[in-house]
Amino acid sequence: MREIRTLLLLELRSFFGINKFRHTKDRKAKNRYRLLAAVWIILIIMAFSYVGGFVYGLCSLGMAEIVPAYLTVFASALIAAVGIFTAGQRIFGQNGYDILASLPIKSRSVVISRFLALYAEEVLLSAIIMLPGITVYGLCEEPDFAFYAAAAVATLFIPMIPMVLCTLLGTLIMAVSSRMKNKSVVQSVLLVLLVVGIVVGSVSVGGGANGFTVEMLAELAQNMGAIFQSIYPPAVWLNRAMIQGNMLWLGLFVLVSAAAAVLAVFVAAKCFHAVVWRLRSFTARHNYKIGKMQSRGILSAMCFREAKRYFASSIYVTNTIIGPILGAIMAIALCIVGMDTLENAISDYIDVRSVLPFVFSAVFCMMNTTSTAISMEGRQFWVIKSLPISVKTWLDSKILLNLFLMLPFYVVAETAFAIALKPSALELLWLIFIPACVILFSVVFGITANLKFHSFDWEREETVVKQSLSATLGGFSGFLVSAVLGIAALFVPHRYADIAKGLECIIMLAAAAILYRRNNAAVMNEL
Amino acid sequence: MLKINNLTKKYPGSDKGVSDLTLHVAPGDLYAFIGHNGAGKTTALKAVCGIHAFEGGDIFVDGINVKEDALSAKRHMAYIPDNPDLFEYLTGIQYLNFVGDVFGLPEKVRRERIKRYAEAFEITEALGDLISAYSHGMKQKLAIISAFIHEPKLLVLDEPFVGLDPKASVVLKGLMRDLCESGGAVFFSTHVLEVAERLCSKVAIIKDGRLVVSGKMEEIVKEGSSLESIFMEVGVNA
Repeated sequence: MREIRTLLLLELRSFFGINKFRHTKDRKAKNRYRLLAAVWIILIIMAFSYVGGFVYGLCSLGMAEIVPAYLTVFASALIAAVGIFTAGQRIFGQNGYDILASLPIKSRSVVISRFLALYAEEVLLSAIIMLPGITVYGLCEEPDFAFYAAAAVATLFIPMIPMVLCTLLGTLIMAVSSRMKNKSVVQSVLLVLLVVGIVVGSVSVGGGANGFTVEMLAELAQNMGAIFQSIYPPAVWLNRAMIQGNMLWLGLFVLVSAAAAVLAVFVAAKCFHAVVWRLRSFTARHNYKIGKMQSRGILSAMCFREAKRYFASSIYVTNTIIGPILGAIMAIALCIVGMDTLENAISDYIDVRSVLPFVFSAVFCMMNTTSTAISMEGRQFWVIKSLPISVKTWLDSKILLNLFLMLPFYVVAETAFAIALKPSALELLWLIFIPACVILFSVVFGITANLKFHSFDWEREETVVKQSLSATLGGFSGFLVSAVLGIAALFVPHRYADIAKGLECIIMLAAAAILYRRNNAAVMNEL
Repeated sequence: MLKINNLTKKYPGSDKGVSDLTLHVAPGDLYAFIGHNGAGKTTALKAVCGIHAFEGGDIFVDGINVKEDALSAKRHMAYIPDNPDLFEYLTGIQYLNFVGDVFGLPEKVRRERIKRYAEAFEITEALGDLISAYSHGMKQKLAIISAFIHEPKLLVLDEPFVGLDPKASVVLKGLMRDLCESGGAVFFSTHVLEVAERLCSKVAIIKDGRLVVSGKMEEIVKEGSSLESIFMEVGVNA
């Protein structure tokens, strides 16, 4: 127990950079942390409002009895979505491995402490969903004390099953990739395939392939209980415990969650050293012979290096390629479902063809690579700083990599849209041009955000790619711009729609150009 | 070759750094830069190489002001840090080709130079492996090769002998002498005072960010004395 407590304290010290914030004497760094905290508080308030509003809506529609199940599925899905990319890396992370391995510490203790640290983060996520949801439900339905007691226990145990699944899948992916030469690439491919499979599978479960109407959606809501039973039975157990007051179901939920957690820890501990050792060992053939050398221009060399850097990190790849992949899937799904089906369903409420470019941009531009590309230089940044490489060339290579990665998915998506929509010339123009402008803006803004909010002394890539301020600001810029412009487009009279879209594109391109020039004026040795 | 005039660099929230440092390295100089831990050696070296910005003073490399035209200054010099954090996702040869591309070295020239230096340091066979598979010493050798392939006029090294095996140390000393004899200069920090005393023509001692001694080795270390005793006298106990 003492071992686990000591190791857990070590893990928790790196929580959201708390220890660095406490001890750093650099005022700029301290202010960055404060700003990051403020952004997270705003995001949490937004999440609270969304969840609270959603639950209020369900209660108003007379569907209060499925609120706990909804909240459970929502929280579990969010935890799984976050954990699927990070659980493997967190459990089998090699930071400090040499020191830990040389100390008289059981590997089981290392795994348990890392699992508990991950669990602590996921409980926070669970609370972000459950707290506002249960509060609003309580105000609407005025349940008895047993409901709140069950809700408190549920909040603590909801993260376990998704975490266990992510840990087991993460272990499997780590174990498979650790036997391969290009470990990071294999990890990235497996994770992306997993996520795409889940997205496609969940759409199939929802009956998306058969088309839908608003009436069917209402029916769907009524039948959610049956759907939850098929996809995630623990949500139904919790629902029964909290709504019907049957604590046996709560007991079953707690028992299954705890048993799953013990199993996951057991499996991870069993193969911990083997997986970590294989991940650390590299194929060194030691048989190189000097032959013809390939020479490139500086920009090409920088782009090559940037690509190598990108694909060397599975978390960097999986966190940034999902947006373009989902965008392409969205377009292909539209091809399969058919534009007519979509228009029949919601054209009474929204001009689908008008907002589609913005919706596509919002999905496509989630989490660009440029918003963390500068921080990802890490402790090797001295190499770039000491070489005669201009800031422009350095930043251009990052922009070019981001655009190059998006290009194939953009082409696939636009082709699918063209087939599905059979658009007019003007519709096709906006379908191509609006996302292109949003992409350009978000990629350049990502650089701006990372120049302002950068960090090079990180220990885990996850800290940069998922938890940094620039990742949050820069990564969501495309989504936010698309959302704002798309909502604005809804309110413009139809006869001015094309003018408005043209203006929006010009504004985005102008903003991108201004930011691009400002970025290139950065002084590298002041970073 | 290198003129540091009144260099001042402080870290935010700290009184550590460099204060009003003035030092000149002439062509042909093999210049040792020594001081206690935290004296400001690495800070000064990084300011010379354009890695750190600095608040006061000027630095000229081959007559080029590092503040005003850092790119041109960097084309004339090479830097090797004490702990070579290289691009672990590249192989050794990819890293060397990257540096060759940055300096615009033609293919034939870089091939000949990489071959020569890789054989001298005995890492030819490892060049096809990822840098992440290299030991510390191998990374150090690779960093040294990457510094020499573009034939800099000024070589700036931070404790270059740490982690090098004895043979590699001999090779490096030979390369440093050759560079100086061909009109270039070497400016390096070290804690190995015997090597500095035997190898270098000039020495500077820094204490708490300030220069306390600088000049020709034969003038500072007189008959019967040693660099170690001088260092203890002015760099530690003063």
